[in-house]
Order: sequence, then C-alpha cells, then structure tokens
Amino acid sequence: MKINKEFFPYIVLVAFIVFFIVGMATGFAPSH
Amino acid sequence: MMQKKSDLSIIRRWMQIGFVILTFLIGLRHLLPGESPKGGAFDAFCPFGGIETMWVYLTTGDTLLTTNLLNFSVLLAVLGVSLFTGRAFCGWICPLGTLQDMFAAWARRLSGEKNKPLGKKSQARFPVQIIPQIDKWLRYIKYLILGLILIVSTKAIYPPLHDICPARAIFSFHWDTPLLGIVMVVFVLSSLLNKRFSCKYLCPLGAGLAIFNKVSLIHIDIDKHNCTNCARCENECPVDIPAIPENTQSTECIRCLECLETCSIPDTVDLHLG
Repeated sequence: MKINKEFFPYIVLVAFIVFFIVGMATGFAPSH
Repeated sequence: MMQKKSDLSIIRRWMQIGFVILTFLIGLRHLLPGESPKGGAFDAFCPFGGIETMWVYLTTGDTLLTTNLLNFSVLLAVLGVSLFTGRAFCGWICPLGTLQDMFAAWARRLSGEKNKPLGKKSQARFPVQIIPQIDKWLRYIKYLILGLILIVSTKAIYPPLHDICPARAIFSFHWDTPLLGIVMVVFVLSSLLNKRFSCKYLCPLGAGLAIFNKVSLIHIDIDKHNCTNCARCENECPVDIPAIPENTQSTECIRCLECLETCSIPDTVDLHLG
C-alpha cells in the first residue's frame, strides 16, 4: 500500500515518542 | 533556474536541528550543580548505551557505570522507529548524523560551491568520494566495531565506547580525557572530508539498525519501468549508496527520502507499507 510521504516525519516522531514512553512506563526509567 | 529544497527536506532539517538542540540541552543540564544525578550521567540518554549494558543487565540485573535503565527506554524508542521505518533514526533524529550533514554542506561551500543544483553531481573539491571498490569494504568496519563492543561489554565496568564516543566528545561538555578531544577533531575533520564518514564506516548503532531496512513495515520502492537511471537520486544520497534503483532496501539507507524528493519523474520513487 502506497503511503503519503508527507506523513513520514510524523510516523518517525510519533514512533520515537510512543516507544520511549512505553519503555519508561514499563520500568526502564532512572531510579533517582 | 535553481531547484529549491522540497518541504520534506526542510522538515527533515528542522527535525534534525531540534534533536541537536535537545542533545545540547541534555549536555548542558549536566553542568548544572545537582542536576547530573537526575536521570543519570550524559551516557544514560544514549540508545547505544542500552546495547552496551544489555549483557550485564541480563546476567546480573545491574548496569554498567554511567548507564542506567533510561538507556533501555531510549533504545526501545530507536528500535520502535526502526521497526516502522528502517534506519530513519539515522536520517531524521541522530544528532551526530545532523552534524555530519552540516559539516559536509560547509565543506562544499568552503571549497567553492555555494549552491549545489538539486540532483546534480557536486563539483566541489570537498567532501571527496572514496572509490567504490574501497568504500564497499570500509563499510564492514562498523559491523566489526559492533561485534567487538558486544564482546568487550561482557567484561566491562564502563561502556566500552565511554572514552571514544563522538556524542560524548561533542555534546557532553565533559572533556575529562584528551582522547575525547582527539575524537572530536577526528569526527569534524572526517565529516568535512567525506559525507557521513562516521555513519558509513564507524557507527556501531547504525550497524545494529541495518537489519531493520530489510524488515521494516515502511520501505522505499522504485518503479523500474518509469526510472530512467538519470542518477539524480544517487547524486543527492548522503550516504553514497551506489545504483539506488537496484538497492532500495540497502542496509546503508538512512531513509532520509532525498532520493524520493529529488526524482523528477512523478510516481517513480514511493513509500510503501508492508
């Protein structure tokens, strides 16, 4: 399926933020 | 008439600059009194730190000195991006990649080419292109470095890259060993002399992410019936991938989409899901 190239930056940014939050939420956060 | 950079290229540049500023702020934050313990050392914000400390964490539950659990969250974010888009982290987010792009542009300007026409081969003396036969073999060095680091990390106390990491040399403002100064000079000079030298030949994180270009959900496709092999895409490629129409899933591709933006024939280079 073809994807509109204009969405690409948002996919990159949203994936980065969402997976970072998932990591933090699952306990991979500094303990200080 | 000079063809201007596309909106997507401009968005990419701004996104890259945003992450460079963010990384500078993280480095500066650690200079403030009492700030360093919050979140850990500068190394704790590095995705590759997660790879370096992985073995120790899995076998002992501890992490290497200067790293902590935050490394895994940053690594997970990078892996998430890579799962969807391949090595787009390298092309859109990595602050070292951005600096290398900037140094290459400065080298072009300093060696006489103020405005490179889009899609045309650069006529500037710098950055130089390494001959393909040697370039091909040099690109394997980063995989050797990754393998070496994985082996050393099983016996390490500090992350193996700790004293030679270019991100630490440039962004941490902690030049506690002369080696970091040397790393910074080498990084700047190599980036001026050759486009994305560090990405192509040295970066172990890029080596680790390379496999995602083969399995990512989104990938670049070129319609070979439309393609005229004009080489506009190859002239714009920041990592000098040869014969791009035959190599759209190359492990070297950083998904910057410059090929897609440069192509002058509509619907020839596209993004596809699945």
